[in-house]
Amino acid sequence: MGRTIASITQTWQEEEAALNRFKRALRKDDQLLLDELLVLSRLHLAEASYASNLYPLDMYLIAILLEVYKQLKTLQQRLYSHDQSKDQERLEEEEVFLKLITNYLETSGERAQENTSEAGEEELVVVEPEDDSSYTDFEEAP
Amino acid sequence: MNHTFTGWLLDLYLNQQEGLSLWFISADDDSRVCFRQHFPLSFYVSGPNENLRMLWKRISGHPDVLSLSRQRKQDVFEDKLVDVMAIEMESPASQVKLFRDIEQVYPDLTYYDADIAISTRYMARFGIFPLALCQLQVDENGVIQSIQPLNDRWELLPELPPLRVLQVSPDADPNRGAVKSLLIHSDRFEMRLALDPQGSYLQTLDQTLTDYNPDILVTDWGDSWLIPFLIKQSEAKGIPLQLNRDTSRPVRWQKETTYFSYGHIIYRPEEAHLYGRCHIDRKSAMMWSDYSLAGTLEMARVTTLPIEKAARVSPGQGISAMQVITGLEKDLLVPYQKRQFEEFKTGLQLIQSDRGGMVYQPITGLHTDVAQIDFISMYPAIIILGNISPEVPLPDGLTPAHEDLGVVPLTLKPLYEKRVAIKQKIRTYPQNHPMTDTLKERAQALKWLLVVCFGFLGYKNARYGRIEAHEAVTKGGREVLLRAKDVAEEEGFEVLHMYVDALWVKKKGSNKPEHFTELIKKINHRTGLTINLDGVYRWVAFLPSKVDPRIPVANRYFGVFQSGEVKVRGLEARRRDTPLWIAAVQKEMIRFLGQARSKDELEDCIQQAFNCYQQSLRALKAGLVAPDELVINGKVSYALEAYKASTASVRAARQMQAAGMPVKPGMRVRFVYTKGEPDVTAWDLGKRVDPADLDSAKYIELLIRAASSVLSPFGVSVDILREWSLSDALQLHLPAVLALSQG
Repeated sequence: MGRTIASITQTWQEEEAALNRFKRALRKDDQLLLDELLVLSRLHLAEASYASNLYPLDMYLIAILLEVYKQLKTLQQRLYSHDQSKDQERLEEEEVFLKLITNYLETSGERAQENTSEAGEEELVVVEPEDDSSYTDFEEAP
Repeated sequence: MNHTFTGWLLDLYLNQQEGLSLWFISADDDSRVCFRQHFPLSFYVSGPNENLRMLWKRISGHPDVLSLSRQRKQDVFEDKLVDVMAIEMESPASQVKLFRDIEQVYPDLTYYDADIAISTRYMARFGIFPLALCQLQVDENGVIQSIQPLNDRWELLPELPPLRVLQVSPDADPNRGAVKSLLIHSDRFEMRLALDPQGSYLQTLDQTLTDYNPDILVTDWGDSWLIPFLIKQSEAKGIPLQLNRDTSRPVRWQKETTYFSYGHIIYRPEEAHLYGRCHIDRKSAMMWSDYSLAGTLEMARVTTLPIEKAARVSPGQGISAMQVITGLEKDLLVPYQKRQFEEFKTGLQLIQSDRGGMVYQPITGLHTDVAQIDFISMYPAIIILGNISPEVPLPDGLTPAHEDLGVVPLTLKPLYEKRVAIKQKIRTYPQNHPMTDTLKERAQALKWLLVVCFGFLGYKNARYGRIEAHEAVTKGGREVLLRAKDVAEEEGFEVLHMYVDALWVKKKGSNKPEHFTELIKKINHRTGLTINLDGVYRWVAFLPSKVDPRIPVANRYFGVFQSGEVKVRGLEARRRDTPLWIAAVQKEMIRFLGQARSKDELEDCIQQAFNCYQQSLRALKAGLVAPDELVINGKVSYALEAYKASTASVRAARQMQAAGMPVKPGMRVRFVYTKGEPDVTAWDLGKRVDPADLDSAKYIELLIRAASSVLSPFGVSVDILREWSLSDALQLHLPAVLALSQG
């Protein structure tokens, strides 16, 4: 209605038409994927219009990237959130285990001290590392 | 010897003797009185001195010219005063005639105040408008010596006259079948007049017009059938029928017209205008369905257009008249033809400025607890806030660049304020209060004027139009909407959709109106405009495109507010070409869905909506739907010869043309789908259509589409509906709803 320049939807249709020869040469599977990509660019027509870019295709490509990135992030988040919960569980388990070990060691030490003062009782064997490098070797072990 | 008269102005028109005839409804004794008034007036001409001199010589000494003088006046689009020749004429009728004559001889001169409607001039001079309460001094010959208004156009609850309204309608659609009688209705009586061959109905009608003496004659098909029929019968039978109150005049006919407006071709049939009373044909009154008589009278009062005209023309003419009044009140020259052209712009400037409002792609699907917030009259508010007018510097964003309000914002401000005041007044009445409907109709009429004002800023022929001003408004609109979006997101809301002046937002835990108060306050503060909570939806469904379900459509949605009110946009039920029955079924299905108060209740409601579809389908298949309920209201936009492809509307229109009926571009063409050849039958041919002749497959498809629009957000695909239409055994599955209720 009284427009001098094409509306954003019209420019989108022009850009889509410009891809026709490229699309025709694609394999069927790729054609369908290209269609899906183009649909993604339509989700941001209002923003592309507001941008008033001389080359609207740039905006459509950014819109496609944005939507694809969104999908990627969603998938990543799903994977990440899954791992995170596992990690948390594992950390909690480790903490409990460490506490148990610490308690055990502390109580064992007290007992050992008591034993040394009391003759005839078993000696607690504490294996000390030979040197610092053995720890390093252990940490770097596969 | 003068006497004082108090009454309401009903009608005003030119007469050759004194200048004007004015009809009043007396405030003292309920009588209807006609007075006359001298109304000398001036128009102005500017141009090269030698041409003006030639014109001077030509018209000086003309019997109707009272005086010729040189003056300096302000042209709204010029920085400096303009030298003009003022031509003072004895009467409006002589001014019209002289202007037509000289404009043909000197088409290159610039004319001002040359084609202003008499009602507009009268308002600008005396402050009098249709249905204004006035006090007059009248001499013994019935000539008005002075007149002054006792109320103004902006009064919220003005004292209105006790109007006598007579309704006259044929008992059948005259385009469809034979009319056998006329139905007459007023506040005092009702009767049915059989159209007998002797014509006694003409005598009764004439007597009724004399006795009841209506102020307003409301008809159906009055312009296109009833009044031409009555006049013809009256002449043929030699039985006098006086439709005018001014018995010295015949009915005035305004020619039929076809024009282009807002992307549509519109056809307007010939119009019958009366003198001394008003004729309103409901079938050709453009906005009657929207704001009825109360809205029409409000439109006439604020625009000063005569009531008959206010009922028929688009609100654009009203806003144009109001702008002219503002111009005249400011003592500005009113240009005859617009001489403003679009400024030169670079390609990039053009790309940046030639933009409309922001229309987003909504997040499709079903959403619960969504608030819709709308800016109140956004574009008019931006025009006023930014002082956007063709003659003043344009604002940068929303900040005005000029202190004094220009013609356009000056015209809009009282209109905008009146509408807001009426809406506030409505809120003070309890529901179902008798005043509420009237006030709503009046507010609706004002809304249309405000809406159209923005469009007129960009209309190339509008006197106060300038495309840059129009663009400044849309630019302001985009800025305002984005600011609102920013605020909503800062407040933790998800913005589901934005559409020019409205936003749909949701936030977990926000489902009551008070949960959105803070948001509204902050948006008001950030934008300087007033935003309003339209309501909180129990649920709303944004629908995708029918062609490609992956693509959202901006204005195709429906939902149910917490009040139970259903809102539908872009669905079949809202389209003018949808058969009444299909629209009714769709509305009924939505009504069932609207009963769900929570998502848990939705499943049952969807089942009921689906059952409604099933029953309707059975009724359609069994031929139980009356053909007149299945009429499609099509349209032809061009002359029939211009069509290469033959659509159903065109095929129907060709049948009408072949039967000798006139078919004009913009005309509505009603038809039904029928079996075999031809596949359509034009409804207005008057042929009887048997239900068995209807092409039920076509209507089943229309029903499926309408039902799928409603049920698709709930996972009921068009394929399920189509499959069901073939086999009654299929069970309804509700995947989306189950997922929703479990989610």
